[in-house]
Amino acid sequence: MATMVATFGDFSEEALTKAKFHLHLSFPSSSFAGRWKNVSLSANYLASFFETFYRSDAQFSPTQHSHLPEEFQSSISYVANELIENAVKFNFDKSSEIGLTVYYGEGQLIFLVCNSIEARDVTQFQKLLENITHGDLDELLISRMEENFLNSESDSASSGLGLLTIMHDHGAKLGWRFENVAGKPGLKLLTTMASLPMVRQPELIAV
Amino acid sequence: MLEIKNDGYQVWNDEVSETVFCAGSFRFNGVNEYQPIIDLFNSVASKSAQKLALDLSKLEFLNSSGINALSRFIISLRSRPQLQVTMKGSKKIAWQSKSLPNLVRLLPSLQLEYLD
Repeated sequence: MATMVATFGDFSEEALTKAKFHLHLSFPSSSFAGRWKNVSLSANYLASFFETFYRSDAQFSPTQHSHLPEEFQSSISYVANELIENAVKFNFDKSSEIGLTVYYGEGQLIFLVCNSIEARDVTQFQKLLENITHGDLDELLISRMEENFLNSESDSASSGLGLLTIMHDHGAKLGWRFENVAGKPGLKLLTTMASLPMVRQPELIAV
Repeated sequence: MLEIKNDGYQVWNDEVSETVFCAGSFRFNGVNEYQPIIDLFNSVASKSAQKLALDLSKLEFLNSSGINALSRFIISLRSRPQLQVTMKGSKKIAWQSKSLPNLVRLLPSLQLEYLD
């Protein structure tokens, strides 16, 4: 019997239940067609919005918080931009929406992005995810860059690098969940989860 | 063409300082859309006997396709070992001290300097 749900990487909804609040954006797929600027507008909006909460929290416990507000804002912008770009690029069912929810959690900001993907791309994509979630991040990043240079035609390599930079450069954890779509065997629903830490002590970051 | 300027981003070569400047936000859709910028870099690199300086200190944002394009360009410079390559960044732009050091690992002779 085929697995109904598969997860990769760090995918846990437990942290979401402890979130103080969340912001949900839902875009028709067409929001971005020919309007690439909407990606940056959305990413920048999220970064500005959540920076205000982070800034006031960090004022109360500056040593606990891992980043200066500007630095944190910059990482939110990068992570959100990358997740939205990927969702737009790979969203297969153009009639469906792309959902983006950002949770202000305990010690972390958690992004959830949902989009449809083509079922026949799943195996290769899952191989990529296995690849980038096992091993030393430093080495994975550099070897991915070297591979990209050698295989300049490959587009999936590009996404691999984006995901690796989220983890390596910005310290976020990533996870993915694949679900079937009722009545549409050619599609899967992909949920990507990115957890960007806000505080220094690792025990405060729920896993 | 030694200058690319558009809404939100600029790339230009300054012959006096022998530096290629990148400023604004680079968010092109896919690595192929970075080709005109990479072509500009290559054009400057091929005309220089000894050095190439890239000033990214005013580059506020670079998406992963840009990191991909930049890393490929840096790797391609291995075939020009006579070129002394310098990259200038800014500590005030948070992504730079996170992402630019990775490029030094691709080309150990690359000099990475932060202007502030």
